[in-house]
Amino acid sequence: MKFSAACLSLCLATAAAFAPAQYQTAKTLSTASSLASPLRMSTTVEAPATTNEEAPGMMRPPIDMKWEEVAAQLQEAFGYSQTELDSYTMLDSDKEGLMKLYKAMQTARAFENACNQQYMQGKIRGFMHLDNGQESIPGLLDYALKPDDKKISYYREHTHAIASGVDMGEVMAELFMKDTGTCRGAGGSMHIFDKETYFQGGWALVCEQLPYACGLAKAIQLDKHLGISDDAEVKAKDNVPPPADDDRISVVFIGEGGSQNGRMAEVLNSASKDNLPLLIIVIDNGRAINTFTPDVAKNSDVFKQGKHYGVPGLLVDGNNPADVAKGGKAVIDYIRSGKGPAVLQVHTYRFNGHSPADPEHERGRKDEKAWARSEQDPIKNFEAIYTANGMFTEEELKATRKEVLAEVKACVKFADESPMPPVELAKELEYPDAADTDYNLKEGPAWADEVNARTISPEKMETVQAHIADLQAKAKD
Amino acid sequence: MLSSVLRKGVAASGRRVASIGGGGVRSMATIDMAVREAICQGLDEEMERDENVFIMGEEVAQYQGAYKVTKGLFQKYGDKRVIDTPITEMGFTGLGVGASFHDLKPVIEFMTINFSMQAIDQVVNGAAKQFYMSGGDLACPIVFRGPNGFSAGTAAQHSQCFGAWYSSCPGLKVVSPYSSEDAKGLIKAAIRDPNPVMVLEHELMYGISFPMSDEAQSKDWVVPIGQAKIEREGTDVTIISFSKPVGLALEAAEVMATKGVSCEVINLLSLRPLDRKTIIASAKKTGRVVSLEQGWPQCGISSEIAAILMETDAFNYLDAPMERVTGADVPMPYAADLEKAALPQLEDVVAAIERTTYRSMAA
Repeated sequence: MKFSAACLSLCLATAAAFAPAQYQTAKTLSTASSLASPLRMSTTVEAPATTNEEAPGMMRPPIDMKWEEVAAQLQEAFGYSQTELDSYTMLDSDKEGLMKLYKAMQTARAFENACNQQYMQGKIRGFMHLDNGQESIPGLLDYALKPDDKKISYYREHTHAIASGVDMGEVMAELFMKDTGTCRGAGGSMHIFDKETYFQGGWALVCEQLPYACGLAKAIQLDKHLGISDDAEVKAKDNVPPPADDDRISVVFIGEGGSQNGRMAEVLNSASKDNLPLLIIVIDNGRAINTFTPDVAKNSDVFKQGKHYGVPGLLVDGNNPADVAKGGKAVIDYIRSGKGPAVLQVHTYRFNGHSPADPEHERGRKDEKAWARSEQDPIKNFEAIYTANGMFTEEELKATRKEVLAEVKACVKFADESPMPPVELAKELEYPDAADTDYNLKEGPAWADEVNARTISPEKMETVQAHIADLQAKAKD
Repeated sequence: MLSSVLRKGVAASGRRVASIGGGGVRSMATIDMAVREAICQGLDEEMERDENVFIMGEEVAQYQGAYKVTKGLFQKYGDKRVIDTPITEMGFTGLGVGASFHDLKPVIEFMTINFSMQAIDQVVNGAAKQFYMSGGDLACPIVFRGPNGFSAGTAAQHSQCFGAWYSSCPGLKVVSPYSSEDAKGLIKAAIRDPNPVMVLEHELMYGISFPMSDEAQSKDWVVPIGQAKIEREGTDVTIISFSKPVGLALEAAEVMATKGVSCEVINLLSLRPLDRKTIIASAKKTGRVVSLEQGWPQCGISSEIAAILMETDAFNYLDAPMERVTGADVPMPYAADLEKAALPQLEDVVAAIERTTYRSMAA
């Protein structure tokens, strides 16, 4: 009722204001409309004054950012010229690209909804954290990441994994604790790992993934320095340098709450000092489980936090998926070009509770969810914009939705029909090799000397060899 | 009165406690109370008694606690004494430790004790060692609390038992309740104790109700730290456990009773100091010991009990080697069958008891 009236007014207003060269978000038009309902708070405790002057009572107002504001940030903080930025706006008229973006977001939404249903049916247990409302981020991943970029996320990572190329059926099977899951049922929802697609979790302790991501970025650098690269199965290294145009990056995901953790400072320092190819995506939905982040954080502008370290940051509006894709890609390309790490903060809303187990009865969250589902749905906003301007018909979008639902249904079926892991698996996974393996007998890489020859000067090598010989002589007594 | 509000909705069992001393003392009904409410009641009473007591942690205030253990306390005491923190365990734990050096009595909640690893340096190097390092100058009357050990399907990073690690730290006290009376009495004792105390609760016990005697319902109900409790008296085998597995031990005792074996069940309550007297006395009485814990086997609580039995007079009274039933030596798997295989089950405890009595397993 509320939504369809708002949608109608959005469509009419957008159609009336259509300008070929610029796309305004549907949101900027609707805030002018009286149909945009301010958030009503139903709290039992005194809330600190965190209200927006224009919309009194709204705990977390939308940022309604236009592309011009994104572009301005990219110019100022990242050094992009206007001409360079124009090439990023080509997505706006790229029908195929936009449809791919839409499909990626619908896939994320449909998958998470399926997880919710399956959890209620008891097929998934323990902790599960759904990404509904934050789909512009998997949209960006699908749009701008490459298969061998190294991705590492937190516990709300299903959609990150899938958008990064992890098989959807294997993710669902993992949640169903099946042997065909990404981790053979050992990990569960919070711990999705897939070596071949360089998706390295799935981590439950807040912010722990940040320094790991630094390490992944360091490995990319070391590959180039040592002239080695992963073999085809990603099982070992080969004495083959990365391609000359190797522009892999490491991407890490963290919340705006997690960004308050001390590791953020350590990682910004480390990444900037070593010029690591690291992208920190800050998923800013304003909440811990229930705690409203501005209540406990002095500064929620995480994209500015890198200033102290010379790490640039970009803030984008998660409600506009195309802008997130364009702006995000510009940030990613900046890192790919070797200019160092960067922060991308996506202002977004979490539609569901922290997890199905959390009753969200406190502090305005019920109203916020209802409002966000209606007014800040990136998928709905995308549909509104691109049907209004004629890029897509309703039928085309519907067809994609249908396709996605069929794919998600198939992966649920796959998970349902897969076997559970054998009980023996628990003990098998304790160590990579047998517990009594004598590593003294394990051969080093056959090409170790070649790598040494090109990375260690002859003089240094001589010193090292002499020292080793000296130690060995002492050991002989 | 908050405590009566908290008791609302809990069914009264209607049982009457025999009057004490027979001298016309009023006897009230024993009521049933869930463990989480008992802890909350304990926190509330101690906060009322001493204004220096305050609670800090993630989601403890406005959200009423992630597991609703601190329900109602924010409304009653306000944001100066029930404090929501950012997701920064190292920071807020350190803050609490610093505050405790100057006569404040913080109660730091770790949403799960797994998260205490983020701040373990503050717990051990900051709190536990402080009194000794300062030559007795600075005490650290801080309490750390939260759910410890396994849950249901929460996988490797949310299921670890920290009893063994913390119990090896001099300067730290470590307690772990089983029942509601334990839970209330231990949190009150912990808050009153001038030493740093780690309280290891259990998530799967929070919703379980136990009878709370009239005595336990009073504001003076404190369970002394360092004393174990004999939950069930027996003559043939001693089963020693703590936290949720105490329930499993009692179940096993019931099963063994039908086989004519009388089990004595010890609820340790304190992991540090460990009640060596009670352990030794019981071992001497029965001559057979089974130690039961959820945590990993290597260097577990059971390992310490085995050492006690070897090093003391108890050794001379043993009729069988000690048996231990522990969690499997793996990170907790997610899949249900694997998780079950990684945790002690009733069959495992019964089998261990039977081994000490040299009986074979029933077919």
